[in-house]
Amino acid sequence: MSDSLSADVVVIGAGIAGSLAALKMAKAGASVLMLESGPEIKRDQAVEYFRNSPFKGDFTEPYPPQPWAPQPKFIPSDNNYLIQKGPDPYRAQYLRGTGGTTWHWAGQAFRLLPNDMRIQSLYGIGRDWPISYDELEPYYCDAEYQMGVSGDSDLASPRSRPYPLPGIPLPYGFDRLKQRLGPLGYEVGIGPQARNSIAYDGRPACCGNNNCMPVCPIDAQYHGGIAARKALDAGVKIVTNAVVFRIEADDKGTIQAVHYLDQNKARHRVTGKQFVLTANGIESPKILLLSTSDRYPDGIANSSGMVGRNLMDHPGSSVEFYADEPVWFGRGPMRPGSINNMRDGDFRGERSALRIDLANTSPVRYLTERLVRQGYYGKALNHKLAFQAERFVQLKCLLEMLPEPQNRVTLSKTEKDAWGIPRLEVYYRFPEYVHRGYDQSMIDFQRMVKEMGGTEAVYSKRGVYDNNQHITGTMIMGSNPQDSVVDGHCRSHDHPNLFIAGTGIMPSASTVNSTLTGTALALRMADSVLASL
Amino acid sequence: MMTLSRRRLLTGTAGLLVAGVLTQALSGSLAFASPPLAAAVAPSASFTAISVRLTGLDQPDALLAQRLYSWLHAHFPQLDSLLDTLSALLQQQPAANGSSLLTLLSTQPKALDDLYQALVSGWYLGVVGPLPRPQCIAFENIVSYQLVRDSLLPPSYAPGQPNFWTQPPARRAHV
Amino acid sequence: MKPVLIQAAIAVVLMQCAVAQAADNAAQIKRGEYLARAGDCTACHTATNGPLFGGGFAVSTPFGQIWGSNISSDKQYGIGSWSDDQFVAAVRDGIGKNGEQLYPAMPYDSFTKMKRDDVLAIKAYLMSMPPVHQASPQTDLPFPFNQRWGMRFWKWFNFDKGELQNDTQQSAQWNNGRYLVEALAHCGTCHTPRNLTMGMDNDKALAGGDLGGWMAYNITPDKQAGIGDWSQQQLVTYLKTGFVANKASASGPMAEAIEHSLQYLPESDLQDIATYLRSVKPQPDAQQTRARDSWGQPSTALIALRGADEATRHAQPGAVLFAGNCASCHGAEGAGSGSGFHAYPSLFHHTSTGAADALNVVSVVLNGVHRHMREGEVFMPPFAPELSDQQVADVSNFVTQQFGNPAAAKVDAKQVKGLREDAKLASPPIYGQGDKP
Repeated sequence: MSDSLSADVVVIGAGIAGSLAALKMAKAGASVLMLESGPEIKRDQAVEYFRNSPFKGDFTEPYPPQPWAPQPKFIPSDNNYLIQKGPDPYRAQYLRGTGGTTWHWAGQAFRLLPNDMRIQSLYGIGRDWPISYDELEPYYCDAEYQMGVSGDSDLASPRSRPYPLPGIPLPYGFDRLKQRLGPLGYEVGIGPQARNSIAYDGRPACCGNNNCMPVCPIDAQYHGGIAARKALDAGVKIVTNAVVFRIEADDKGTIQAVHYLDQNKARHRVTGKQFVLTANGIESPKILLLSTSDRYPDGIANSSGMVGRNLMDHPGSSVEFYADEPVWFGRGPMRPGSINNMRDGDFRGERSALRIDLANTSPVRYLTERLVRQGYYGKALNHKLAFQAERFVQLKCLLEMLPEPQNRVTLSKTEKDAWGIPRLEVYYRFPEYVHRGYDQSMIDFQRMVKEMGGTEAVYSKRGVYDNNQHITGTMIMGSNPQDSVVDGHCRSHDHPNLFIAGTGIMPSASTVNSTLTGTALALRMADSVLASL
Repeated sequence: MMTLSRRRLLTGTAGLLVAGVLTQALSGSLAFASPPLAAAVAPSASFTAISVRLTGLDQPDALLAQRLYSWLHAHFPQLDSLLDTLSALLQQQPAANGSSLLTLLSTQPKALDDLYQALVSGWYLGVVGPLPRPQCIAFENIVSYQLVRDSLLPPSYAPGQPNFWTQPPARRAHV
Repeated sequence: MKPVLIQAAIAVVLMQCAVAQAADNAAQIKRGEYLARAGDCTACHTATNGPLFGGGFAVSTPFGQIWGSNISSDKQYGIGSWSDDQFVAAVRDGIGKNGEQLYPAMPYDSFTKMKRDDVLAIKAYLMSMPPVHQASPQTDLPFPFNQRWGMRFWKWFNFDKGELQNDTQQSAQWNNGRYLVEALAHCGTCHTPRNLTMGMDNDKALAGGDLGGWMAYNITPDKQAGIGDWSQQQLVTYLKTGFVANKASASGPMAEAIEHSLQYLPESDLQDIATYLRSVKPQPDAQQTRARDSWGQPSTALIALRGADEATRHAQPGAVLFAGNCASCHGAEGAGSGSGFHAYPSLFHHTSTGAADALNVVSVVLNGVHRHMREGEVFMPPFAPELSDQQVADVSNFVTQQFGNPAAAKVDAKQVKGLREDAKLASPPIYGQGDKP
């Protein structure tokens, strides 16, 4: 066993949150070491893996995993990375490698609404955050400037600084829906995106490769790989292919070291003064739960028993149809705009709020596959494809999940992965709150379909929701150590030198993509870590 | 931002003396390794004829034709005679398309159905072969992208016109 | 006439003179501003992102760094207290304020051809701009180059003093073009080869120059080696925009020249430059067997790689790199994409890939391209931070082989390493490995 590695700050997980936090701490003069379970991810290889893949719709194809860092896969078959134990599936998909899952995201960079952080006080459901929007706001600005977020409207999230970049203009078809749906009260607007509208930070502007998921070929879209690279250039030491499986605390509860397995299953011990856990909302609780001892029979940072619980995501409902006019969806970035004015209101006491994305993923492949499956060929297929491709509309609604303790990840008592680390079981169940949100989304979808003269509309089913890979809640933030894992400064209640950030600590999911919030939290956490050095 | 020294008055390069030839090791792609490409075989007339019918294009892409025919040749014994059979079948039932075609194919030997699927999937999507790991033999030149080329490039390619998406395409997207 | 009226009359006359003088002054300053653009003073006399004309820019030479001086109106650190004669002597004769010899990094071997009035107009313009109260670093070359009097010998070999005289046999446009090319825009500083003493070799005027990391191409009207197959309008378009479809796009130092200087010149000036260039003596080059923009064709190498196995891909590193890094913008076949200002250039029929030496291709790959034009930004990211020396060599060789002049496809990693280090560029990241942290 090698145990010579040490740094002021040891960061576990080199995704966007960990990397930007590490960058900040390194620039402030700390010595920082990051351990990443997976390999280095290179963009040009990812681009070619994508082009060569038979499964273009599988966003993990460009990121082949290493044996020691397996990750969920669903196409062509489910590898059951998470062993499903509940009535509803939790099919999270994520990457393990430098930069993490934002390599294949769509760049949507929303802030929470102030009310999203107070849904218990306001609406009597869910949990309040122990911090206010105003306390988080400066870190939102920092995150936006780091990432190069483009946008126009503040979308009811107050701002102390303007967007660093102007908004990316809506595609033609989106503008048409905006014009036609606006009078019904559905406001289609530019979404804030971590995507350059002009050259920024040495990276080009978006030019419509329409490949954000699974990989932007030109880095117009920000992702954790850019952050990891900046951290490295700033002096952060990054060790890849290092699978952390244990956090070691002493008798006083001070974290002394972390342990990892390398490519050869050899063990290494890494010491430090402050420890940061940013390995995503599933892998982080896994490490905490694995770190059992006599003193900590339930794992590290888990005196509340909340580690792994309150698992949330954004359940997704959807509709697809053919509009009565050509709209040519699929040109430009994949998620440039959405309907954002249904995210808040008193109804949240009864049912989930909604946020509806207009999906600008090119539908050509999806439509062709379907036509082929239906037995079409030749001119008949071509004719149908031409019609469908120019009129296809897909709307995706994000619903708000609530934190419920029985929704959780736990360690399997019997199953282990190839490196001998226990696998995870997941129990997940949608509450009625979400189903009622679905019901509302169907009402809204039907109105929109009607307004657009939509034909052949297909609505998603009640209770069968997309997973949006926004893993939240599992190391929940709160002021009460008995029912939360970290405090308002991202410090674990149980261990003064263990900090946790990323989306996993969020006490509410809201209806917006979580990455910007998780990253802002990580930057806030970095201040706390620096103050502790 | 780049810094370029604008006025450099050097004759010849100021190359260094250290020899540093780096080898590029390809990172592990063991999980997703493609099988070797089938040996190249020139497409037969039977293949060309049926490809025109199946794609609805007068001149399907020659490179994809070559690639697809080679793959079929390696996976279907008696390929050309099978192609002729399939061709005759489609000629006899020109109206069969969509569910009626599926019905028709279900009455045929499996090899014929498999051949049909491989042809259509190969031409339109560039993917052939069975699960769990089909093979992608083409991407940029597949028929589905060719058909909409007036409004779209294949994903991961950009048309060199920023914000082009704010305008409808110049021409209608069908062949 | 009554004294008060005479006084009034004198006052009016003086005021009119003052107004006329002010008008003259304004006109002179305006002309000076135009001339300073044409001469691109800012290129060497303004630090990157620094205050205008405040100095602080280092010109790299084989002898060391030479700092462009502060030429702002500042009295202490700039030219604020210089006399007209002193300023003219510096610009045209290479003599500093205190009589010291100036290094010919200041291209006085070109500026000597300028009219005195023009030099003074530039001075008037500089004096009208805000002072920059900061010293530019002192140039301090190692011995013997710090012995400035040695420039006398350099001048003896290389310095043809004297204003350009109008050639009455030629048109006004030609004369203006020559003035712009040889005096103001000092094209020869880059585009004329150097002799042993590093002076311009005027026997081979504009036959091409080596700037270390970049080649300034032959811009004589030779049909194979130079611009002989360019039309007048193509030349003008290139000087104005840096881009002519299926012919050329400017990168490196020329992109800067266009960005800072040439894009601001009036159309008539650019026409005159083109007229003059097309009239100079054609200079052949045995290496360049065909015009640089006549090489190459679309490539099917990438389509052929689709679905190929590891062994096949491993055997074509250049094509694989091109596919993952370049094809998204430059097209799977290398034909570029789009049209108009923001088009991504085709890589075949491009003067950089068709050159007999791949130096500019390598430097573009390493440095990228960034032209700030009035219509917007033209931007290609640098690949130095992404690609190793061998990878840059491989992709450059692929590009020249497939799309350009195959004779140029002999770049090696050692050459790339040198260019990378000379330009102080980044390198790809090196992450620690779990087993060898």
